[in-house]
Amino acid sequence: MMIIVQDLKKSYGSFEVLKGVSATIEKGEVITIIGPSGCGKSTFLRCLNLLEQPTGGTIKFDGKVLNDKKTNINEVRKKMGMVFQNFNLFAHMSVLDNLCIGQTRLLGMQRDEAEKTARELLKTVGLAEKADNYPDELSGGQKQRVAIARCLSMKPDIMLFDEPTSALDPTMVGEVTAVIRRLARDGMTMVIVTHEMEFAKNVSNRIFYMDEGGIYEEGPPEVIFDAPNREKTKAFIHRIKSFRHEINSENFDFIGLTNELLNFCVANALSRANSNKAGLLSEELTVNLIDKKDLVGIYFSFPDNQESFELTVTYGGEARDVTQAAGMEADIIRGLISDITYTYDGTNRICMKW
Amino acid sequence: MEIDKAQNGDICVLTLTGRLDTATSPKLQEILTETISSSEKIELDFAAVDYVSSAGLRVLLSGEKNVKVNGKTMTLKNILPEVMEVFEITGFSGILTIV
Amino acid sequence: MKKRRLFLLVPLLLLTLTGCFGEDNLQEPEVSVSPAESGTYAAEDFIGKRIAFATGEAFDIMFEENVGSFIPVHCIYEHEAMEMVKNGRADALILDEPMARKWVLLNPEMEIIYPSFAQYDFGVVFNGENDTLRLKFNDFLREIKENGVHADMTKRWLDTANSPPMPEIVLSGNNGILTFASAGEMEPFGYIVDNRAEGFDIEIAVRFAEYMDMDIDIQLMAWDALIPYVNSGKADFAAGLFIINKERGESVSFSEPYCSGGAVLITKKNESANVFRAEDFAGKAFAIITGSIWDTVLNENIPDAIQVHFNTSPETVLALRQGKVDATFTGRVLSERFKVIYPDLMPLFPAIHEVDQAFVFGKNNSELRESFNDFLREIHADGTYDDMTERWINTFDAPPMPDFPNIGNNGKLVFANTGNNDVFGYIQDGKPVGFEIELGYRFAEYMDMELEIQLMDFAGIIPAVQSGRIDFAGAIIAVTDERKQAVDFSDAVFREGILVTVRKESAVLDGAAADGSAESTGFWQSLKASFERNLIHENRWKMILEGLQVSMVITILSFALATLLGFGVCGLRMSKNRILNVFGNIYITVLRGTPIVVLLMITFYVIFAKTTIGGVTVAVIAFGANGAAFIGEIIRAAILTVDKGQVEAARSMGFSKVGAFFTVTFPQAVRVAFPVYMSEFISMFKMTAVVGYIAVVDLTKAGDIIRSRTYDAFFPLIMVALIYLITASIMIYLLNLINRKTNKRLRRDK
Repeated sequence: MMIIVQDLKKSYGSFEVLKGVSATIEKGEVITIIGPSGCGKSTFLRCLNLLEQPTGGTIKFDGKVLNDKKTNINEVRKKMGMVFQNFNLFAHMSVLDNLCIGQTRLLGMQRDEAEKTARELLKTVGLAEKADNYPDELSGGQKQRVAIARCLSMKPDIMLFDEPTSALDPTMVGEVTAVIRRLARDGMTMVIVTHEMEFAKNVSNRIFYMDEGGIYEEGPPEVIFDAPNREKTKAFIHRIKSFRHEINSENFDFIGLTNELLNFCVANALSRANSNKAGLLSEELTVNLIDKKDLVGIYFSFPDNQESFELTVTYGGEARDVTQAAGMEADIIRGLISDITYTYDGTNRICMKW
Repeated sequence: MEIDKAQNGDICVLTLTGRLDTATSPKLQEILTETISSSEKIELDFAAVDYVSSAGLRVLLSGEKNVKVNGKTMTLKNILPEVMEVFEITGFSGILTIV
Repeated sequence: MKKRRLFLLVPLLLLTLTGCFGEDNLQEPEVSVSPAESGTYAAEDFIGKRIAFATGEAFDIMFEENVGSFIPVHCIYEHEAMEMVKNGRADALILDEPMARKWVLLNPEMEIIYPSFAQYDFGVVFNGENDTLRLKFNDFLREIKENGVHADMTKRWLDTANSPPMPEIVLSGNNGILTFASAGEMEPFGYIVDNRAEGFDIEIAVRFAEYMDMDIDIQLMAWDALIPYVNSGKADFAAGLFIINKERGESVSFSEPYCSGGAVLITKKNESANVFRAEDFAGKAFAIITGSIWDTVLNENIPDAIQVHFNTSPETVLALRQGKVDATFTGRVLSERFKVIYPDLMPLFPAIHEVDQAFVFGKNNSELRESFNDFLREIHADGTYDDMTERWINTFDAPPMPDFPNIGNNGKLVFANTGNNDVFGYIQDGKPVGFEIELGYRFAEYMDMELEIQLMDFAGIIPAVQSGRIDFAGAIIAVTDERKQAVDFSDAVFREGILVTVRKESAVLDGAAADGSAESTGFWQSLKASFERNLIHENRWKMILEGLQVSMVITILSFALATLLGFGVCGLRMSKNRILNVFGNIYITVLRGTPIVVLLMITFYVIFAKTTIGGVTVAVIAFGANGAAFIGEIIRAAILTVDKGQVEAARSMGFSKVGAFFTVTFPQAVRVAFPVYMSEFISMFKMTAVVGYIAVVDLTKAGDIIRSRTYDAFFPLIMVALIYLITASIMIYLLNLINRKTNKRLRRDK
């Protein structure tokens, strides 16, 4: 086992980002970390090479406890490479020098040997002719490939990628993911934080879905992407969009609600038919079927692929299913929706799905 | 919701545009009542209406009753499918004269 | 009708005036007379000048015998002589003293020159054959002198401006009639008022008649006719301010002296002449030297004068010549030289203040001071002092400085001087010379010590003596009570008068004509003359070169120190330790906020007061500390421009903190900082111009010293500025060269 993470905690002041994460990373594995923004993916990655100092727990690399004061972190880092979202090439050095500097200064190699290695690496990433250029003369994709080559020049045991393609425009993503794919094929141990789902799916051994301050769910790509077990994973994978409106009975403003709902639908490119359907259901319930003073809220969600919809209306008062009432309104609802669930847990809840 | 009144021969045509819901129904109610009292034949063009809720249905029902009592006619035409769906669920497709 | 008559009078008057004949006076232009050193005119000032007088008395002989030769302008009447002077056709006129007083009172634009150059008595003239009358007159004279009538008459007639009324004296005429002859035009002795004869002489005559119990018949005639009239018997006696002298006494009989007088010169008061009157200077602007007593002098004498401060004597002179101020001060000694060097300036007499000048010693150095006083006594006694005075002060041309071997067995004496006071302490051929300098050398010799001379601005001398950096100083320092609190004075070395000095009318100087040469020389000629005077003469270019060397040395060393300290300051500022941070902030705030001149002086006079550390070292320390504050911030700003991500990349590769700094941050920071760093260097080079305050002769001070010798405004300043500019440009070029050589990328792009 190359990396063992035990109960890793990281707080910024009073804000706890990582609430005790444990994981193992085996040699030769390619692990991709996905999840919503701000959930600690990058923080976790940066803890692995101690760019962030954990506030609790341990990280072991090759048996050495990284966050132990006695460990010479500089030595350890020589075996770990990191590729950054913003490339971070040394702007005052040529591409060639970027690749040589680590070899000569840190690995004690001779300049000519280092150059040889450097040029080889440049060839493998397809940038041999850019050896004498300076970073500001390269495109984003080229810069990232040089950055990867620079990491490789140190002959690391493991490479960490912190959103390597997030700063690239779509046309350049491909050239970088191609290089990463090749590395994976050649057996490099890698931990990648990315938003590129397709890429993650076919390059990874394991996926970590991070949420709620830790690894919420992990598994092989086919599980995580195609059949996620847990709620949030699902929501993330399916990229569920949701709309929530809480109703303060004094201020129930039908027109306001209509507008908000409409805006949400338009913003998420919902078809007019479905948009109107949601509006109609919501109108009948909130205006006609439920007493204004009992209204609590509306929740409407659907996945990115708009293949299913869910509208939930909650209301107070005594337990009653208003859709069972007689009248035009209830008819409309029942007529439009087949899947209606009524529950009462102190609050009446009507959940409509189509 | 916009309502345009036009005379087509002896028919008074009301062209509706927009949503017919709790907020906009009162406007239709007002204009419809007025039109019925002044015309014999009334036509409602629903080509530009994509949303009808129970509030709208109620207004249409009241209008239908009005013309029946006075021996006038009220026809609805160019109804979109999603609106039609609502008419059918509620059975209004049988009550109203739909062309 | 009346106007036509007046018109006729004019040519008549003119004709009368031409009655005064003199050989050259009609063609000669007016030559101005300058007063003697006493501040007022003296009779001697008119030797060789044109003097008008009425023929009759032997004024010319009296003047020639008692004063010297002159150009006579003969007139018939006294009032003619007065007119001649008023019109500028004569420089002065001679009158009898009592008459002169009256006339001057009536003509306030004239003034009498005292003392009278000849004294004599007046006598009344009697016929030689009738001695009885004469003796009677003498008795009468004695009587009126004893009973006070004579004194009263003198008071009434001679000491007042207004003509007193003739006293009413009733004459009985019992004993006959006395005939009295008088000239009738000699106010206040005998003149005509309302067709009546009045005057001192007239009253004497009338009283005599009363004494003789006789009546009087007063006859008026031309003065020349008086004596013949008496001698012929047509008059009994006559008075006409006849001076009792042997020659005349041979042909006339004189009474005892009835009045005494003297011959005096009367001349025009020159309104714009060199007389100092405090009231003329109310509210005027005076150029004064900081640290001198001139401000006290002004406060006491002209309290509402505007005081404009300068650092050196040549600056005050220049300011006056250029019209920036209305007046300044000069020592009496220098004022003599002024007349030649600056024909456009005019010292005013009398001196506004007399002052003792002495050498200053530190308070705890009374032994040295006593030795100096002993030395002074010795050189006064053996004539060395007088010899020095003769050589330096009383001769106009600068004498050669005597050679002094200047080796001492008892150590070194450090002597401070400003080096820019003509006569007393100035630079010639690159070496300090002058009265005080020689005194310094002699004293050192007396003490068997070696003299080291340090040049500094006047304002810095007393603090330097106080702090012990200097053993003694002499820079025409006036003894004042205030200064005595800070330093001790030797016995007086020289007594000087301070004269208010102004420009002559319309003599405002512009830059190009500052060399005092005729303004009509061409631009290139005056440029060439300036070049020669400021650089070639006395090899002054050597001083410039040495000064430049000093400036550069200070700049380079300070800058190196500033860079070193700057890193430290930057480190403090960027430290995570709060205390270090605060310390760094304080350092930067204090050193950036204090003007460099003040910093320099604090370092020199306060921090390094009791030490022997030289001015150059102090300057390097002060400039270095000051520069560090700026450079520290430059470095910090440059470091902050470097993307932190690159540092992270380096760290994640395995570079240590220091390694990442020098591999990533430093090279990029240097690139960014370089342009600002360079301008800071140039800035520092220019800032060194103030080291003159702490006795370092840099390029600016060298220019200053040259200026104090040549009194040029334009050339030395422009020249020094150019040298700074050229040197700075060369330095920029070299620095850029270094930059290009070390920047790989620029080389690749070539």
